[in-house]
Amino acid sequence: MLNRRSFGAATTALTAIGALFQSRKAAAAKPSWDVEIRGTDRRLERLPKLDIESQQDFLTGFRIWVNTDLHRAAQGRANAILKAKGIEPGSDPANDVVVKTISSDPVVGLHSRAWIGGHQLMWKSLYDEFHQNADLYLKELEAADKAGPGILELNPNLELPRYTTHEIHLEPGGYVGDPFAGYMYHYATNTHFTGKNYQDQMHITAASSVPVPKDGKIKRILDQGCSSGQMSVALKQRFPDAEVWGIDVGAPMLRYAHMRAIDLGVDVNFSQRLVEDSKFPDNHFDIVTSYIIHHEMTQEATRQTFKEVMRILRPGGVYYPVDIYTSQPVSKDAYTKYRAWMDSRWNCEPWRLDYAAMDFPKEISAAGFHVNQDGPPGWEGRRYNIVAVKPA
Amino acid sequence: MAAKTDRATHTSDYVKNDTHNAVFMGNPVIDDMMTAIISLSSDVWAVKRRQKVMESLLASKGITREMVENYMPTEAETAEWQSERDTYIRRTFSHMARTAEVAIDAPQNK
Repeated sequence: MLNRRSFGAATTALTAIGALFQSRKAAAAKPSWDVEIRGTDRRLERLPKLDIESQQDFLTGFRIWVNTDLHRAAQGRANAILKAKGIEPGSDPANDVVVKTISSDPVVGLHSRAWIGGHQLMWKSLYDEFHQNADLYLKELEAADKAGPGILELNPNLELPRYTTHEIHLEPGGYVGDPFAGYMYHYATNTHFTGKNYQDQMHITAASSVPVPKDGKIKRILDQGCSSGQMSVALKQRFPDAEVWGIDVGAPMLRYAHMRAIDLGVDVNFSQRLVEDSKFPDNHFDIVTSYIIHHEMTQEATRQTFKEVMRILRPGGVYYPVDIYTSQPVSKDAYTKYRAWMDSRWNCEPWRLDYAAMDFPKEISAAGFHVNQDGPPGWEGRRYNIVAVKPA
Repeated sequence: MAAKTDRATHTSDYVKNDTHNAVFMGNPVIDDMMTAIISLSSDVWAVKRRQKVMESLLASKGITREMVENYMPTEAETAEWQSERDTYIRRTFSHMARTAEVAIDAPQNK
């Protein structure tokens, strides 16, 4: 059994890492094409209008209220209803029974509507801004496409699996269908993460926790499903001598990720590829990471991804996937299960429940990895995360 | 509304979500009123936040609260403000019209 200590550098203190992640302005001059209407707050370009920033600020606070006070109120009602029907809330009741029993309650309904309504408005204010000023932002992306450091590879002939083309968590157009998907994703997730990621803190935490291969050799790193590139950039800043690649299915996401990496003065390569069929050579990478992608993938695609990582990692290489259940067990609590069902059904996370039903460590082992379930946590407040190593 | 542009967008076809059909509060109108309240609240907060910025800036330039209270807008300002008011009302209350888009056999959160 591998243990946390065998992964050495994962224990790097966040405060020391912080020195590497200072204001982008310290490392990079502002590119001439950069649309930066209201300046930056360290790593974050401020939203282009004060009112939009304030609306997102409100929705951040509203989400906190919905996820705490309103959640507790609705959960209390749900538990009382379940008990009255002879169902013990903590007994892992079946989803369909829970949904049928509690969803007509007005407080549960209010919780659901407040959560979804806030989410819809979060996307709408961003969508309207970027589409109303489409030429301005498309021009910015076009200029960044051709700039460096780092390269941008788009593949218009890539056949997109249907599962990747949904409007995941209600993002208009999803990851592939809207030219401003990267802009919207970045600012919406800032709200979604309730203000805890304005300076990429969550990605920096994850990147600083990535275990180093036992022999210490790190030439190439792959960040799968890189979205707006925050994890890829944090990896490059932690491992400046490594060649870092971020891959994603969505061209609009990659264009934004590339543009932002340039803006931060960080040399990362971004490429439009499938995580389950990346076309990279065998034994090519020393480390492969992913950040919250598997709950957005089908079970079949996840299994294929494990095989693909086994192929492209070199012997002794480290695989570090971070997602909802790589660092905590699936809850047996009725209302928590109801919320997961809500997320899947109405927040357009179609495969979240399938993901929860998978035995992740067992599946990764089945692909040939040595799995450590007690690796360093990728999220603040968690105690562990899965780490897999390709046998040497 | 989606942008109309001649520039390359690098986008692909996608599968649209069906969350516009969701009814959580037993009546789609009540659902929509809740959404309108959230939207309205976000705008109220935006105004309050802008006001805080302005009060700080004005105070540093010697503009008092009384001067703000007694200000008379020009004709051009009045026209501009009315146009903004109408946009604001449409944005806030257009959610109410969504009810007409909900399929009559829409799933009631089942």
